[in-house]
Amino acid sequence: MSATSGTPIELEHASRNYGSGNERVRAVDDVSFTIEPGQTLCLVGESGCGKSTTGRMAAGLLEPSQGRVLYGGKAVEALPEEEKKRFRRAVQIIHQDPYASLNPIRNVTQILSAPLQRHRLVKSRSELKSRLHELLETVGLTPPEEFLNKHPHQLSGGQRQRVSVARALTVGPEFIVADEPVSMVDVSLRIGLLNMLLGLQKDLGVAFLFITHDLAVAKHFSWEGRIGVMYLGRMVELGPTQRLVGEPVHPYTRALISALPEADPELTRSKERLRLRSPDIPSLLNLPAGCPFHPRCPMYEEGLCDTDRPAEDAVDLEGHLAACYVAARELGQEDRIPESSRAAGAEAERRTA
Amino acid sequence: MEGRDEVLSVRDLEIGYATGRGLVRAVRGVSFDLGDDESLAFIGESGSGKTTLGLSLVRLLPQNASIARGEIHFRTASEEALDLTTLDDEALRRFRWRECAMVFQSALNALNPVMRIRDHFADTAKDHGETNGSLKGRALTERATECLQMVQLDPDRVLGSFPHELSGGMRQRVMIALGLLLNPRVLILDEPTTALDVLTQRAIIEVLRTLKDEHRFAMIFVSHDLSLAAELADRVATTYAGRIVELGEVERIFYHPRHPYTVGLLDAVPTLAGEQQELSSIPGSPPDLIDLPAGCKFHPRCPYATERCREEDPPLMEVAPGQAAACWHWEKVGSDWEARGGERHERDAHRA
Amino acid sequence: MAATTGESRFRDSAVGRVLGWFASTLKLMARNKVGFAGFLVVSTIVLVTFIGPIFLPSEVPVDVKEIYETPSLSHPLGTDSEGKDVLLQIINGGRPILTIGFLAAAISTTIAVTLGSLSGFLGGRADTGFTWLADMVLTIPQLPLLAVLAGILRLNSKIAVAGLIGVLFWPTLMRAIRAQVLSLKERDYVESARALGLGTPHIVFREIAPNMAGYIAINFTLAVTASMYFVVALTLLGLVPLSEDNWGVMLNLAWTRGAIFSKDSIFYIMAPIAAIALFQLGLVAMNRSLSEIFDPRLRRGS
Repeated sequence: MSATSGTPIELEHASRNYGSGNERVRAVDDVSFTIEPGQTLCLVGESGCGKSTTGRMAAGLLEPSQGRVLYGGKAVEALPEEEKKRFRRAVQIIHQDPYASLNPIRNVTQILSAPLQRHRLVKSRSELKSRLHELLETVGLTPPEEFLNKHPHQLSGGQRQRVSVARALTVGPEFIVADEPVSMVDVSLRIGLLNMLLGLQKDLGVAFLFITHDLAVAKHFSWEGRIGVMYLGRMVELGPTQRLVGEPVHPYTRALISALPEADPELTRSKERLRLRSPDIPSLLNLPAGCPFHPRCPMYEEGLCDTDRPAEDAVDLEGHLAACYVAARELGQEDRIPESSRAAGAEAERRTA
Repeated sequence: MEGRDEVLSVRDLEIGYATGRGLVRAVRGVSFDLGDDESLAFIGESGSGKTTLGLSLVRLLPQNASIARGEIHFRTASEEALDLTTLDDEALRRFRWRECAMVFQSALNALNPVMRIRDHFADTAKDHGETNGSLKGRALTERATECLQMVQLDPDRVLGSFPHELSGGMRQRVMIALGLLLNPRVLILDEPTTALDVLTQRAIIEVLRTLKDEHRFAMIFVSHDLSLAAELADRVATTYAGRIVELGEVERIFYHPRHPYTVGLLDAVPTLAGEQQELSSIPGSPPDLIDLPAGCKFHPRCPYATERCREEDPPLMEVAPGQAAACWHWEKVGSDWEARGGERHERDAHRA
Repeated sequence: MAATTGESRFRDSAVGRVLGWFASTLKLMARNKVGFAGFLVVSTIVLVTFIGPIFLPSEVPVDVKEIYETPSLSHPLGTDSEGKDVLLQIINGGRPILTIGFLAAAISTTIAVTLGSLSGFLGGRADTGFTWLADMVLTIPQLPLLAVLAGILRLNSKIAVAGLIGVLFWPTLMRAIRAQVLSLKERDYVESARALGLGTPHIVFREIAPNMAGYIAINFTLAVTASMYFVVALTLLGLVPLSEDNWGVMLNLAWTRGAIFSKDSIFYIMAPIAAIALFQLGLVAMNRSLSEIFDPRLRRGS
């Protein structure tokens, strides 16, 4: 399967709510992005930012409360039966917890055979056997015979993740949503798993939505791709990895990059840290007005930042977007700031002057 | 014990767990010294034995664990020399938290959910206080307030709260404050930043750094996170299969490692700074502590392994002043590493 | 390793396979000593009460000369008020009780698993409806209802009695199953099964249900014991006009004929009680082995 034969996946102003009335929470708030065939997008953010929920919407496992998920330009819910089946097979998911991602009472053969048989992808026992061998070898579990009859509890965490990937590959997906696939795996084994996934991208043209809280892992995995930074359900910055990491625009991204400890004593002890105004993270039930990051943001400006919620593309640098009005002004894009915020900002300045 | 400034001295420590499947040899001969103002990081992954080691220093091992051999010598604040392996219950009670305290991971179940934070402080003081009157009343509140301020928490807000009312980062800081309550000489921290968000991690690291700079006590970190060692440690010990495989000052370990496992770890960690790197995993799987291979325990995964490695388990050998590695081929590991120095300098250039 | 062709042919034949399954079940049971002991007790009682009566006279002989005899070689458990041998009555009298017990448990377990799974998996109105139904049945006091119904309906067949007990017993297990399904539904591997398009029947029967199999089996055995108690209670109260000798009838007769007032007749009263209690104990002990059979993780040494 070559990279050009895939179909783009798109999220269009997708939101996901939980609860109702006073207790309504927007786990994901108006997120949009497109992933072209063979491309990688990493979603980065801290816990509670909505990246996992976004991943599940992209995988078609969760319906957006507002907005749409598009497959090849068409809304997934409205797809005709045939295409819906095609979508279901084209989009797969890998989970974070190696101890929960496999059914404990089924062995590797059963786990991998089920989708192959269900979708009639193999026509005989011998074909099934050779396909199983092929899958296990693709994910680096060799010799395959050693693993076929094992139950999950007889495998290590890294091996389980590989079986998970093999399972996703049974149906020949074009797009895999990987939800923190290496965070519960030993450090010395992570790179092996990541390289295996990158190999799938290169050899099979699989596109990835890679979800992680670790910006360094995101940078390594998506070096040629893009990173999207999420905060409290919103996409605050989205752009090519190399540019985003090298010249971050949004203050939250900058805070994340500056906060990350590095495995290099001189570097990390001399790194300049961005100081946040407050350690408190607002609850999703009680979001502040305007930009959700403003209570903690070192670049906060009264009026400008707490009036309107910044649009995703408040800053637009040719495919590198950021939701920050202060940055917009600094980068000469004031015309993208709505009048109400500009006025409020000017008013506040006059008062303090 | 040598050295006026040493507070802890461990020699040939061996600890095993009795399990249904057999004896798990979690710690197989660990020796090290700890200065009274020093931060030592034990870095290792699953099966390294580092957590067991940490627990043994406060004698909080589970029921089925036992210290098979070895000595743990501790010099108390009053210059008394204790052998921790032989202390009785009463002596242990006075030792724990007053001389040496342990800070556990911030999981919700580390704190009693039905007790307020001030009651946690009271409990700690009572459990480990003098037999004729422990810290209590106003003196306790003052000291607790002081400790909470040391970890950058607002005492008025925190003392009256229940654990579930605090965020993960705040709970971790409370755990540290509880550790500091009785002014111990040594603080042991088990995975203090794991499972915390990046920004919260940063806050905890800064708190620990401030404590380190402003107060005189020793810290032992137990973690799988190399970057934590890079941030806070004076010396680093990489551990594998229950042994220290390399020990040295932090700059030596990170910039001039001599053990293949240390090299493997350094090559396996992605950094944010700089260009795309050549990273690689260590092949193979973590060791099974019940069924360890003969010779060097790392040899099944080691690119330098030779016949000698398969037969003889190397001891820690001095490879440079103040640095030791447990590898027969440390010289070759060293020269290969230094030869790669070129690409490191290139990476450094992108740091600024 | 090289078996003769004859041997391997036998192993692959139908008979061979059944025996093989039998042997491996025995081996699994044997892993847990308590469980194995329970399994032996249960099997013995079942065999004796189901097959034993074939070899015995269907009518235990009356012998008025030997009323309330104490145990002796010819009457190991003594005799009753009509001189009938107690042991023979015990052997004869087990089958109806056990049959009703298993049948009632089967009925209630089936209803509970079906409604519980549908409720947990489908959610929404189905869930609300079934839960409401379960709550209604649960609030009815069971023994008085059974007593009333027994009086109104003509309960002269084992199936009717079993059915009656079965339809009253399912709510508790149904709620437990529903809770399990709700929890299992959220597991990552179930989500993967959805992503792979494996379909609802596969998910319910191959991913979720097998993870509950152990739980269901254990609850089934507990339902058997509870049903047996109910049948005996009904018979003791004289509400079930079952004409055969069974342990419940023995107790009823013992009661009505004043056996409790005489210390010679203690064996007559205690025998059926002991038989029931022993069977319960065996079932409960057997549960230990059942948990190991159904959960591969608990199998030691693998």
